[in-house]
Amino acid sequence: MTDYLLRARAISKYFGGLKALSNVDFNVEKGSIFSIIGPNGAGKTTLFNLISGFDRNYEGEIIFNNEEISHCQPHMISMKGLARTFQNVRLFKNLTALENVKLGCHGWISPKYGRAIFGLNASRREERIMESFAKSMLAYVGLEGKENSEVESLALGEQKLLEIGRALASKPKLLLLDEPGAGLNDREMDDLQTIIFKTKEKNITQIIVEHNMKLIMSISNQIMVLNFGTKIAEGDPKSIVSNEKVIDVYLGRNKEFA
Amino acid sequence: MHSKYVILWLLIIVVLGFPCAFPNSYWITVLIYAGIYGLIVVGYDLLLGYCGQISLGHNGLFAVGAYSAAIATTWFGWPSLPSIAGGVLTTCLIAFVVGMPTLKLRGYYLAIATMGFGFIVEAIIRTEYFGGSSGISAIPPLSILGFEFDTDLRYYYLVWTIVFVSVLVCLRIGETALGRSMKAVHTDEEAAACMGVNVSKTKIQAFVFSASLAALAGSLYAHYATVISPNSFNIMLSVKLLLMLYLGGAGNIYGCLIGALILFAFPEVLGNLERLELALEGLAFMLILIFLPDGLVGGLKRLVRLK
Repeated sequence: MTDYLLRARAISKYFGGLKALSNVDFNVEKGSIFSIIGPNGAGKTTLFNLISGFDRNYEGEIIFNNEEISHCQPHMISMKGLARTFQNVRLFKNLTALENVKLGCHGWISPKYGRAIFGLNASRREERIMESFAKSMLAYVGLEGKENSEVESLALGEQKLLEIGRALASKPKLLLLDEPGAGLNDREMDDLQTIIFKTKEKNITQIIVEHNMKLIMSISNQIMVLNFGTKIAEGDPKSIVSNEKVIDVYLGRNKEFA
Repeated sequence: MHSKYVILWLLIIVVLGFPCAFPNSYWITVLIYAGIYGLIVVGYDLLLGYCGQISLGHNGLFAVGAYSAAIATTWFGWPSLPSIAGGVLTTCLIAFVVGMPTLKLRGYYLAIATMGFGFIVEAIIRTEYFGGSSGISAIPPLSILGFEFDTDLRYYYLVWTIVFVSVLVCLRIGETALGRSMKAVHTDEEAAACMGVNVSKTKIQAFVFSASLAALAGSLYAHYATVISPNSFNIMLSVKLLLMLYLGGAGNIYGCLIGALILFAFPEVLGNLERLELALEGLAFMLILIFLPDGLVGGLKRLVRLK
């Protein structure tokens, strides 16, 4: 009996008359890397928005860790162990890099505000725990030394890594990465790949939306292809790249994927 | 404390040292009022500067605090401390009830909804039941555990001690998880929610906390002025709060005190130009927002590169 961390059933989403997602069904195995590919406008980010509770207006069911999370509030879903990054990096510009990552810790440390104000030992201890964990997360994504940097002073590649660090700070069971490779150069892409593999070793399940097929091929256990809101294919990387429909709609014929 | 609070420490020294140097100065009265309104703006900065929620109804919260203290002491003969506590609690409760639906709004809509709340409070305090246009008078002086704050000097130190303690509390909040949540909500509510921040709860907490400071300021005002009337609590007060906040700089909690000091000192030095007070304040507002949007403290910090 396969252990599925996330199960999505009959997911449909309409924006007025426009069908963004139609009857999408998939299961994500625990500890695996599940990739979602497809042309722009296929509904990939919309799907992420539904799973993370960002958008609660849809049909269908989402079951996370054997618990139904359909239509739950985003902060509740986050506290259950689901974290995400955004296609257009959404860091908090008025916080430093370290503070951004510390924010991720709120889910598992549940800071006591009353105690914080009066500076009692328990609260100071909490802050120290969050501080050291956040620093280790920054080191994990390769941003050691950038703790006090303003978000805007970081390059795009660094901002993307920071966002991943922030998501990982919540100690998630499931990590959703929305186009983590967009805008990265080759070296940054290698760093990203390393982080994704390291995260897999920590037994954190990942769902990744991405256009970079080289990255997808090297990391994925399972790939799902969306086109115009419907699932047109699902399978392991080898079968996906040889799938005629997928080649027609998305991959094109002149590409070689190692 | 870090060196980034140099301006704050200087302010504390200057303000607390002032009456020692000039004990009989007329300015003490001016500065007491500056402190009372400064207390409201400190809470206001937490709400707007940290959490990004604009309220144009703080005049209403100030009024509830003032009238509660006045009513408890004059109608029911309560001693000062319970009256103040009751006033703060009442205001916080009202803020909670008003905040629940209103804080779901954003930007201009939130501003207008809170402004509406301010109007409602003003209309209520204008009714005959609360003394109409004459308001409530003969409010007894503040007395805590037998100690009467019946001289200007005593009141000065009471008010400014409360102000600086509030500043330190707000700064402490800013350095901890609650402050981080507020700042995150300010920048990007939706991303904050995805990070596990309960956005509604955070906004309400900020609103109720700032209401508690406004109510406390209201009680201090009532006991000092000894007469309170509706004219002191209209929308112009909220406009002045905004001016004080942006004059000093939003988001650093103590900048608004410099704004309050300037705004209260200003009419005193105008002399013959008194009738131009409002126009000059309006002009100052526009110039600050255009040339120094992070206020005087922000500008100073950049100048000295303290940050």
